[in-house]
Amino acid sequence: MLAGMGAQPGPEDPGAVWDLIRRADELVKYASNRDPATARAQARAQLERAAGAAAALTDPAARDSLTAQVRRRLDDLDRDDADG
Amino acid sequence: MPTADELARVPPGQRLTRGWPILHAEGIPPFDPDAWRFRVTGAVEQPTEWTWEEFRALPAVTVTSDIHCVTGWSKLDNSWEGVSFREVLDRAGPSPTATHALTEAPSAYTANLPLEAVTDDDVLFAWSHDDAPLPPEHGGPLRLVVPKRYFWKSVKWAVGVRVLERDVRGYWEERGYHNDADPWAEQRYAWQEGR
Repeated sequence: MLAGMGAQPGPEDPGAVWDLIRRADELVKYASNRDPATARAQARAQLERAAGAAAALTDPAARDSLTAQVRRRLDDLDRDDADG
Repeated sequence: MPTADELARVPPGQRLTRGWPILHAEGIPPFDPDAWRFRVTGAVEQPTEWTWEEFRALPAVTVTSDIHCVTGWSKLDNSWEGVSFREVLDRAGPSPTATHALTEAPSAYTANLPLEAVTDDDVLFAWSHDDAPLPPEHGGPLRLVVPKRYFWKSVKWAVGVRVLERDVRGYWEERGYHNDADPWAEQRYAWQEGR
């Protein structure tokens, strides 16, 4: 379970960070419909934005869990890029 | 225009599509019918393995069901042919302490479900969709179909089941998606768990 999620929306809203992550997921999932390398690059850019937003969260549980989710996906992208 | 009956079958937050969008987290694996194997391992009395020919010779069922994708689209009235999950499981004989099943693709992709969910009458390993061989981009030669859960639970390119004595989260479940994934309860994300 992702800590800190479902809180009130605001300038430091974990839900907004999760939304960035979710959109990165969709870029990867739909990549087969177009150029996968471009889709992965767009997902990486989206995740880097999410990483910045997650790092700014004041709730440490939300910050840590969302940062871990971003890290896991960047690792996935690194592996996929290495596989070509 | 969708009929009232069709709209009643669309869960909250979903929209109907007549097409079939293609999406997956990883690349399409090659299929060699001579080398393909399906394995049931873990908490079973008899770990079991089938070749493609042997698997296709198992008793077949046909199920018509709806697809609900967590990204927001639903596709109604899909006709699937394949082997029921229960048939596969019964042949390996789950141990009395078995509680969950993790269905595996050749990559790292997995999805977890409790045994009572996968032994439902409408859950099957399908090789055919709407009377045609299941195309590779949609999980052919064989995909799991679990109509009562969001479609990421319906593992594409299924090659095995690990029967477990405890729950283990699958690929998307580890990445912040809901462990249960009931579309009628809009169980999309892990942060909703326990609510």
